[in-house]
Amino acid sequence: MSDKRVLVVDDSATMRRIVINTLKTIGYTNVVEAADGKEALGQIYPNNIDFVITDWNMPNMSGIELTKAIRNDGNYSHIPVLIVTTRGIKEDIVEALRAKVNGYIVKPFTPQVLKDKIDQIMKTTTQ
Amino acid sequence: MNKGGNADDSNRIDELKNVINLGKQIFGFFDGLMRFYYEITPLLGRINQSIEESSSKLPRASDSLSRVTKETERATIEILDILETMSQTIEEGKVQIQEYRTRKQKRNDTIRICIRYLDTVAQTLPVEDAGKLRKKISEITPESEDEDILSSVPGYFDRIADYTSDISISLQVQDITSQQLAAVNHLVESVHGRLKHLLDNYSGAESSPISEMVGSDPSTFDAEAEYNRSGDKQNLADALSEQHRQSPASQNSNKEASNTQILPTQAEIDKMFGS
Repeated sequence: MSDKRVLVVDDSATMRRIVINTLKTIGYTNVVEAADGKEALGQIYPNNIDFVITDWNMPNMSGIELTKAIRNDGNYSHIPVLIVTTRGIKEDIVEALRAKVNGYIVKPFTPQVLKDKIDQIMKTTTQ
Repeated sequence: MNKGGNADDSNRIDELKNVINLGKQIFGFFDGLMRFYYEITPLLGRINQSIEESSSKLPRASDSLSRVTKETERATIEILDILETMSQTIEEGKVQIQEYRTRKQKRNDTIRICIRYLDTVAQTLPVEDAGKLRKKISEITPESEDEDILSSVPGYFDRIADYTSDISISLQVQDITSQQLAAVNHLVESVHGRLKHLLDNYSGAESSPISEMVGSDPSTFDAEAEYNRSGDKQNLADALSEQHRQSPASQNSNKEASNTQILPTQAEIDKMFGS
């Protein structure tokens, strides 16, 4: 069991549920959810979030805008962000990397891919 | 009347004839135009009515698509609830089986101690009685066959858990199709907006400019979303992420994201993937 607190951001209730269920199976039970980037920003401080998993296309604030907002905030710029999206062309991936995401997952994904990415990010960000 | 005056009169008469001929031609043109107008007016009315009817149905089509998304989302979450319950039940089953195996092991250990004790006792008995006792002892010997069956049960549970996981992956199709439906919805709303604009213009009513028409925000969905489990896109993302991670600027910023991260150029990316 991990004590890390994860914020799952997606406008699709189905995807939030799938990500949360997968997180539970790999030991992350401390999970908070938000339906868009704007709501997510409001959740980071009160919930002391350690890790963000976000969709890209969302109303109010996209996952890329959320990542940029996190990176530009001195208090939270260290929080790892993993983007989970249907967008899988080169230009999109490069745009996300330029926005400083720590990992990129293309839907549909397997639980193993999510686990590997989280492990990889945790390893590199705690070094 | 002089000669020059006659020539002027003749010219005027020719001009008048020309004007009359032109008038006849113009009249013919306007006559044709009026006939065309009378013929086309009811047709335009019918087209207008048809567009109005079609246009009034578009918001309903848009609502129906939104309802489809909501209902499939609700059904998908119900399935996910069941899958989660199944996963919990599987885990509980595995714990129960493990508990049973542990208890059985303890019981077998006790039986083995008893057998050893009885065997010692048998050695002190007359031959006939000892034979009877040993026969009884052989009947209570713990069998390893049970253990073979029991040890395979967790494997079956794991396979069921894998199947539930596969179903969970497949259910991501709901999010993907909802994005495809959102793209169609956006198209329907755009068509409706343009038709409304056209009808307002036809009826002389005030209409908003097309650019100001409200529709769903295209940044909230991916019109190119597709259900593809080949892993090609993930491989591309992994390769680009790895290249990004190995860039010097990225390595300099271990814990905090760097402001000067170096990313592969488009040419490098194309070379990498042979495109």
